Amino acid sequence: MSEPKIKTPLPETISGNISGLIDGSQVSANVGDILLNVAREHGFRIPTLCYHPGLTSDGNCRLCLVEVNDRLVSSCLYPLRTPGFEVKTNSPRLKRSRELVITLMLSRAPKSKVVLSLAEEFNLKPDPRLARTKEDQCLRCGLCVRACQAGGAEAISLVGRGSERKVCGPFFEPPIDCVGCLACAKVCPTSVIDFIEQRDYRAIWERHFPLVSCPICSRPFATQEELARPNADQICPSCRRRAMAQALYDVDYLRR
Amino acid sequence: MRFSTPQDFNQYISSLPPSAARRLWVCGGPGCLAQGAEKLLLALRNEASKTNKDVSCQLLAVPTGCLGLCERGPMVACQPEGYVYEKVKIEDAQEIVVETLISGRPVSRLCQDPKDPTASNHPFYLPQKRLIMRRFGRINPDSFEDYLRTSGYEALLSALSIGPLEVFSRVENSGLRGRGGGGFPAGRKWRACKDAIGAPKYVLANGDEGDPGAFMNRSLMEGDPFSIIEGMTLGAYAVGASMGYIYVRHEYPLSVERLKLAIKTAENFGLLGDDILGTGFNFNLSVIEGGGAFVCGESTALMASIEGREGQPRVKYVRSVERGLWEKPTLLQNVESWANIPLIVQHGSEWFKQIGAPNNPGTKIFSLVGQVKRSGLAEMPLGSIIRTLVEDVGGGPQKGRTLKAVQTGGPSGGCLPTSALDLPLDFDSLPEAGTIMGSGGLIVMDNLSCMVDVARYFTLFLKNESCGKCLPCREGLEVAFNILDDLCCGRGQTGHSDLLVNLAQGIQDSALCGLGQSAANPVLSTIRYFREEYLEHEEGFCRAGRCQGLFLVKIDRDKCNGCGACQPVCPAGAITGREREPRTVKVEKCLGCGACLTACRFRAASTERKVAGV
Amino acid sequence: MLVNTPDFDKLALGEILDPIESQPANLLPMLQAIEGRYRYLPKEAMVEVALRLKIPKSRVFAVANFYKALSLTPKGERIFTVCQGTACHLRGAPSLIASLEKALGISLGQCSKDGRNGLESVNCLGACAMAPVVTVDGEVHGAMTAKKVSELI
Repeated sequence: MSEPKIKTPLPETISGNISGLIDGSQVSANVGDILLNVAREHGFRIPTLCYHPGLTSDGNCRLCLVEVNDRLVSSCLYPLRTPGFEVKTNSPRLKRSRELVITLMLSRAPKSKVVLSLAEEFNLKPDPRLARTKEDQCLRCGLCVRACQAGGAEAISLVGRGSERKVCGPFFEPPIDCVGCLACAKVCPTSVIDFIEQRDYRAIWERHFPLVSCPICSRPFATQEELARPNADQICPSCRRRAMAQALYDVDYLRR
Repeated sequence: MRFSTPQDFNQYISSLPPSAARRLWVCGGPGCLAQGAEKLLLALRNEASKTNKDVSCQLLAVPTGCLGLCERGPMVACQPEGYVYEKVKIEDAQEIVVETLISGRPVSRLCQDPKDPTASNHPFYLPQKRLIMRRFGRINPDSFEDYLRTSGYEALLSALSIGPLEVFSRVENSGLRGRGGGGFPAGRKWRACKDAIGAPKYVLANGDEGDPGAFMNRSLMEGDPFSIIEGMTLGAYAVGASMGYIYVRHEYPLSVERLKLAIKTAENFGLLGDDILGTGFNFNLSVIEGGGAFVCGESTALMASIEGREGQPRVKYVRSVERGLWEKPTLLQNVESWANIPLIVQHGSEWFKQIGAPNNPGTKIFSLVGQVKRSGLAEMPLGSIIRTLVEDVGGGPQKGRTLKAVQTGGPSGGCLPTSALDLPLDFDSLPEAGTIMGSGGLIVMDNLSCMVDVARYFTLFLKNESCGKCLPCREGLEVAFNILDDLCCGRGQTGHSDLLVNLAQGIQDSALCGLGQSAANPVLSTIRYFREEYLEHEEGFCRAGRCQGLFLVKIDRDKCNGCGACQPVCPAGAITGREREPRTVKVEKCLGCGACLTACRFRAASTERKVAGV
Repeated sequence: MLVNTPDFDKLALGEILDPIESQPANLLPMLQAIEGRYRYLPKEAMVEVALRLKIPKSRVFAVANFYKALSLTPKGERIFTVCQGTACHLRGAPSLIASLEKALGISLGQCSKDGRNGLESVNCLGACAMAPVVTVDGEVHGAMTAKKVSELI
C-alpha cells in the first residue's frame, strides 16, 4: 500500500484559454482556473465563508454554490475545463440553497457578525423553530485547522462526526503541539477562538506562551515553540528587515 | 500448486473428481444461525458418523442469501436431489441422515409442500431468477474445487484467450448498471478508467453495505467469494489495473474471513499476484476492513478511508476514474456488480441484455424485510413489478394487517404507497416516484407503521452517520430530526410539515455528497404520499398507533372475538372484559402505547384521537 | 480479560504494531489492531501510533474519533448489542433498548461501573428475518422480547 504522492497530470485535451458565460456575460479563463476566482475577477458577487485565498479550499460551507450546466457546484473547488461553460450565480435553486445555508448558520452562530451580515444581504431572519440549545458560534469551517496545517504545527483538528464535530486538541486536551502563533484565532470568521495577546505573553487553547525577546531590539516577539521550529527566524521581523536592507548596502555588515 | 499456464489450469479443472455423491447443506446465515444452525450441523454430523458410511456432511455457512428464506430457518438442502427442508430441528437430524443422506429419499414433512420436496413450485422461489445466487446452497464457499466445478474461472480463461479489449467490449455492450445504488453504466466507468493516464490503476469493490435491512452484499461475500475475485480480476485485466482492494464493512467479520481465505487460495494457485498463469498479467488483491461508518459506502469516502484518513467525501469535479485512490485512476464497483462480470464475459453481452428490462439488463438481489410473511433474499430480473416481490415472493402482509407502504433504497431512498405497487423495480422508474432502487433493500410496512416515525428513524440514522464536513447535512439533519422528534412526541406545531419540506429541499440542493443529497428522500417521499399523517401529527394524533401517547385505542365489539390477546400486554391494565367476551378499553387509563394493537390479529382494535382533557 | 483501567504495557503494544508497516495508510489498521487487543484505544497507544507513522497526534485522534468501530473508553466485559436496523426498529428495537437500559442500569453506549456489562447499538447485522436482534458478545439472538432479554441477563 505504499504509494508515493505523485500528482498525475489530468488528460487535458485542450489547454490555455477557454471562454464561456457567467450570468449571460462572456468571460474567459485558463483551463484549470477555479471558478470562484474567475467569477470574482469579473465582478460577480459570490458569498463565501470557509474559503481563504491563502489556504487549501474545502468546500464545506456550501455558500459559494453556483449552477454550472444545471448542476450545483461549490465554485471554490470547481475547475473550469471545458469551453462553452454556462454558469449562473443566481437561480431559484441557488436562492433556496443559500437561504438554507444561511438559516442554518444563524441557528448555530446567531451572534456572529459575519453571519448576521449575510442574513441581512439575503434578507433572512433567524427561524425560532430552528433555535438550538447548542449555539456555540462555531461553523466548523475548518479555517483554523487549515491555517494550523499551513503553519506546520497541525496541533488542532476537527474531531467527531455529525453535529458533534468540533475543533479541539488531541485527546480533548490543550493541544500539545500548539506553538502559540494565533493564526487559528485570527482566521476564524466568527471570532470564536479565545486568546490573549499581551506584550510579553500569549494565551490560547488553555496554554500559556511567554514571548521571547529579540536579541537585537529586546522586544518580545515570538514564543519559544515558534522559535524552536526548523528554519525559524531568531530575530524579530523589523530587525530582520533592517538587517536585510543593511546587507544590501553594507557588505561589512554581513561579516559582523 | 501454482498453475503456470492457462492450459495447466484447464487441465486441472477438467480432471477434477466429482464432489461427493450426495451432500447436505445447512444454511448458516445469521437468521439460521440465530435459530441454532450450528447445533443442527453437529447433530447431523453425529448421526452421519454413527452410520459409519463415507458420507459428507458440510456446514455451508452462507448467510441468509443461501436459501433466502430466513423466516423458515434453519434450512437444509440436499444435493443432487435438491430437496429443501424448512424449520429443521435437532430431533430431525437422525431421520434426515438415514432417509435423505444415505438413501436419497425426502423427509416430506419438513418440506413447505410435502408433495413438492424440491420446492419447484415454492411461492418464494418461483418468481425469482437466481443467477448471482446460483451457487448458494450448492457449494462450500471456501472450496476452490466447488467453485471450479460450477464453471468457476471459465470466464477468466476465456478472457485470457480473447484479450482485454474484447473483455472490455462485452462489459460495455452489456449495458450493466452499477448495483450499488447509483445505477451508473458500468461500461462508461470502465472506458474512462481504461483511457485514463496514470499508474498503477486500481479496481475497488465496495462491500461496505450499510443500509439497515440490506444483506445482499454480505450473502454474496460469504456465499460466493470467488465470484467477486474473478470479477475483479477480469476488470483489472480489461482496464489495465494491477492493484485491487475489497472494502468490507467492519460489522461483517465472516465476510472478511471468507474473502481473505479465497484470495489466499487464488494466490496459491497462481490466479492472483504477479504473472498470472504465465501471461505477464499482474494483479494483487487484498481485503480492507472498514471502521464502522455508513458514509464510507460513498466512493470518495471509501477511498479516503483506505488512504488512512477520516472517511470524508470530497466533491467529484474530477472523477475517481481519472483521479481516485492516491490520485490514480480507480474503478470502483459494488461487489454485486463485480459478481455479474464473469457471467457477462462468459456468455456475452447479448445474452445479458435478454435478461431484465430495456436499459436495465440483468438481475438484482433484493432483501425483502419488514412486515411481510416471508422475508429474506430474492433475486429478480430488473423491471419486475414491486407487487410480485411483495405479494408473490413475500406472501403479503402478516395476518390481520394491511399493506401501507414499501420503502426502497435504504436511508437514501423513499417510501412508496400501495398505489405504487405496480411500478417496475428499475433504475429509472423509481426516481420519478421519489425514491431510488439503491442497493436493493425493500422494506414492507403495514398499517401499524407510522410514516412520520419512519422518516424520523431514517433521519436519525443519517444524522448519526453524517460525516459532519458540510454544513447543510451536519446542521440540517439535526434540525430536521428535532422537528420530526417534536412531531412524534406530541410537540408538533402547525407549519412543521412545510418547514420540513423546505429544509429537506435545501439540503438536497446544497449537500456536498450523495449521502446528504439523498438524505431528504425519506422526509420528502413520506410527506408527498402521507401528508395527512404529518398534519395529524402537527395536531398531536398518530393514526398508526406507534407514537407513544398520541392516540387512544378503541375496540370494535363486533370484530372482537374475545380471544383476550390484548389484555395481558396492556401495561396500564386498561382493558376489561371477561373470557371469550369482547373486550373494552377504559380510555382514562389508556397510555397510548400500542401494545394491544400489535397483539390483535383480528383488526378489532383501532386508534382514535385523544379528546382534550383526557 | 479487559478491566476498566489496564496497566499500560508498551511491550504488548509493540507486539501488536510491529507486524504492521509504518506508513500513513495503515493508520486505521493499526488502530483496529489496538482496539482488537485492548477493546478500546488507550491514549498512550495513540501517541505511539503517531510516532511510528510520523504524523501529528491531532490526525490520529481525528481518525480515532471518526470510526464507530474504535472506542475511546473501555468497554464492558460482556457487551449487549441491539440491532437498530429498519426491520428491527419496526419490530420493536427501541423498547428492547429501554428494557436493557433498565435491567443493566446503564444508558446506551455506556459500560457499567464494575466494568462487567456494556450496552451498544449497531446498524443492521443482516439478520432481518429474525428481527429484533440482540447479540451478546457476538452471539446472535433473534426474535427477542423484553422477557427473553431479562432471561439473557
